[in-house]
Amino acid sequence: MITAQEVAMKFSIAQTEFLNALQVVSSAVPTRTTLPVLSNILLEASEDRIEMRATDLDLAISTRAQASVKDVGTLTVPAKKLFELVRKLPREELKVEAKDLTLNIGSKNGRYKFLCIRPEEFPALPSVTADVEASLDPDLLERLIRRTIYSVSTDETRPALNGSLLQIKDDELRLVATDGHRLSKASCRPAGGIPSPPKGDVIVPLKALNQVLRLLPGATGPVRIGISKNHAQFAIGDTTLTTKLIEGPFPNYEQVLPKQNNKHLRVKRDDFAQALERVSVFSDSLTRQVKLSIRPNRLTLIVQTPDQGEATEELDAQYGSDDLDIGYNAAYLLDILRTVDSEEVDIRLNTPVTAGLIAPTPQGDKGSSAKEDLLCLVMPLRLAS
Amino acid sequence: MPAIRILDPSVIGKIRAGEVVDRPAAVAKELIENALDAGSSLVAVHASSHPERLIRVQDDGAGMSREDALLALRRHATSKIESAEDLARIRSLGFRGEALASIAEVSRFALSTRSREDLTGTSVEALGGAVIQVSGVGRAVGTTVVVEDLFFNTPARLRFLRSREAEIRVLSRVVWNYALTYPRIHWRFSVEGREDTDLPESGDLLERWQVLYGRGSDDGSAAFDHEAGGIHVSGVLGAPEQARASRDHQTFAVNGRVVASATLGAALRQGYGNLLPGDRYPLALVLIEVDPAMVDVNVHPTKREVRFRDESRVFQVVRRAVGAAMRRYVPVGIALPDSGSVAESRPEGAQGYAARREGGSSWTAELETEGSLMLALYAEPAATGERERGDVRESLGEPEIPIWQLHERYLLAPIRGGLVIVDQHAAHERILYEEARTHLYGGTGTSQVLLFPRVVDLTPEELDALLMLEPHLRRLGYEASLFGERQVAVRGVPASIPEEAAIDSLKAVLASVDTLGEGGDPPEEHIAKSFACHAAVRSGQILNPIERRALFDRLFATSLPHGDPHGRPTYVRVPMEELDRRFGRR
Repeated sequence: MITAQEVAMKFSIAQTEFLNALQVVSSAVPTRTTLPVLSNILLEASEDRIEMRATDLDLAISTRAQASVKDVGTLTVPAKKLFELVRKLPREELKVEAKDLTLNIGSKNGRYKFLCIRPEEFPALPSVTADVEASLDPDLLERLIRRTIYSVSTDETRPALNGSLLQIKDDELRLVATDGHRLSKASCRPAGGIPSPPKGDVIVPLKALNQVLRLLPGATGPVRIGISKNHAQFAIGDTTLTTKLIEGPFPNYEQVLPKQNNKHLRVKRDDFAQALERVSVFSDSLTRQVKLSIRPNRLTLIVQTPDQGEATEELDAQYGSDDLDIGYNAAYLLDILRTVDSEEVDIRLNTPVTAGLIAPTPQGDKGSSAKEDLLCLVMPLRLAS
Repeated sequence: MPAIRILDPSVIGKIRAGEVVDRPAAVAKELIENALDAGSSLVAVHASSHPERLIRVQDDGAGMSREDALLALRRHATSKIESAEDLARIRSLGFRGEALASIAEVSRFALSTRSREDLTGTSVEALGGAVIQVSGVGRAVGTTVVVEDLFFNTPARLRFLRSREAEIRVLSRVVWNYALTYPRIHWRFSVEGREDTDLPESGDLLERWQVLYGRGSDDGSAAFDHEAGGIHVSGVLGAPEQARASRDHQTFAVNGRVVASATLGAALRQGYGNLLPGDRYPLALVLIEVDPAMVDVNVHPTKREVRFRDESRVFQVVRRAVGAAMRRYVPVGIALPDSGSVAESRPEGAQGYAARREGGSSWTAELETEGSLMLALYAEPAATGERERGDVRESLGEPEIPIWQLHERYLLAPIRGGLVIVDQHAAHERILYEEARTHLYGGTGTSQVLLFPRVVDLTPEELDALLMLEPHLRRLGYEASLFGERQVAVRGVPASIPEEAAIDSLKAVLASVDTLGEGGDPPEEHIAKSFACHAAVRSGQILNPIERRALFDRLFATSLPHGDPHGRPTYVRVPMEELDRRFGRR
């Protein structure tokens, strides 16, 4: 015979504090799940705070909120309903009380009762004993992620590409992503340096990267990144995101970075991006093909799509090598240009059917404490002869 | 006593009558043809719920004099031909002069008629072929024939009749066939216990068709007209999506005579090509006008079948006429409504997709310029598309017309006057098939060069196939080179589909080389089909809103959006009327 273990918990919390915390964890709640408890948020009251956690088994987010706790305890509460209610409650102190498997929330005028699930059913957080630890400024981490995330492949048949490679090498922290059509590598040397890592590369899933991006704005203090064999953990203020890692190996990207791209084109980033936006209005909706016709000190963008029309733009550029015509997916070029913040970009090319490299033009030291670097590779479209 | 006897003339009559009149519908057919030959502008057909008990055909045609009325009941009495030479020039529907006599032979027969020249009409009554009463009668110009108790004197024939429902169905079909073929005639058709059909004179075939088939003007059926080599083909072709499992809704007429013809049926079916699966038959009305000398209608006593002097030529002309019409065919009514008008079913909804396409500014064209559609068409909703989609909606500044995805297999969208359901795989297959053909026969497809070449294992046969098909594959956008003995490195793939799908379909094309040339397809056709089938999004694949929309727009921009390359339908329309009916609203 099973006897229900008595569950009790009692605390009061400010509506805004509660809502903020719920907002942080709710996005980890899966929209569809076969395990009912995953639709709930785990609430744990201890001392002067409430710990909240949600997970879809691949990824967990936990955070803390200030509260005055009378009785410590723990319970899981339906996430969607709880969030919806707290969002609609007035800004006042809420009294929260758990009894057996119900959670009562009392506001000034209202009483609300949730039916809950036993906390023992909620999956435990994997204990991550970090083999590698790094500490990064949140803005810097955000830039690294944004500069690579668009290259992450969503092709499920190649799971190793469904995330960004996080690599600590040569005193650099790098993120690398590729979908086989383009590759982006963003790196930095944190001011504080990196403790020499005992372990190599890990692949962080796209979903986790998106969640980290969501949590970063407004974060104060450095983000601590911990990596163990199977997990990565991002500690952002009071919030911790734990994710499973993708099993590799990640392709040997250094091997495919071309070394003989001697044709060097330099062009103003904004001009290039805006011209691309305009001409690609006429590009094929799937291939997005644009032709770069490169002549001494002149770059011409040409789009010709049967049944759609055509467009041409000419740009000033620095170029001194042989004439070159090369095709690209305009969207790939635009993805890159959006994440580059230098005034000009350097494009290094070789032939119309081999990889091109795009990088921000090196700028004078802006006094940034962390030296940052970005290199993007993009494969051409073979132009129909 | 000799075993062989000369039959009594009345027995002969009954046997021959049996050849012409085998069921109530045959009576209706003969009487209708007489009415048409008499130049009527109104033909009214009435049948009892047991049609063998009573059939009445009434017309306002030329009518007959008293003398003619009596002659008409005699065998081989006809006003329509005089000599054997005339048989080769037959323009009228009847000519053998057997019909009335045959019918009268096996029924209680009453005829009343008045010609324009006569002041009074004539009424003739006969029983089993014997005239029992002739009298004068006051009536309008025209003829009325009433046939009662059909087969009363040939009980064997009577027993062979099918259920009354079946007999009514066949009889109705006869009337419908003629009503379709002769839209300029006012038809009335009534069956005891059923709703009457009144079809006033109509301007054209299509209008009559739409009235008879009870569909609106946007049902996708279209009139066609074609003339070649002295053969004039016209009629109405039903939309492929309305095709049926039987040929019951096909009407063929040669020089105004409704006929059955295997040749014409096959030509019609082939004209639809792969718009239909093999076991579906289009709704159609096909009228053929040829020099009567080219047709032999005297093949069968009921003239149900005709033979052409040059069957294959007629076949070719009809097939081409239908094929050409179907190529021009644009599915009307698929126009997605303007925002806000989803709920309304507008009468002008028939303007359709074509107009919008010609206008050039479909709203998805705008969508496609936002972000990478290549990505968007296949990316997970959770991926980078998220942000872009938000932007798209804003940039358009109007609420989107929803396209729902059902069980990761079908796309549903409101259209004017109803709902359209698209099979995502079949639709994408049609799109890719046409793109592939374009590339194989002309402009080379764009190839995405790969950073990591894909190494594919091949059997020796597949390797041979690769070497043989290399030029074709290159035109599709593949770039492959040998890599060791049994492997090939794919360095470039068609840019408009995801890499994985591209690799899959390459393998499929190579594996299917065994069947190359089967069915008489040129290799290009074979490759295009095989490629499209394996490169298309699968059932079970989640499509985000941008992908769904792109699929819609691209499908209806193809030349034949209603079928995949194998002839399975790509979409089905559910009219509001049907939904209303299901909910008992009408």
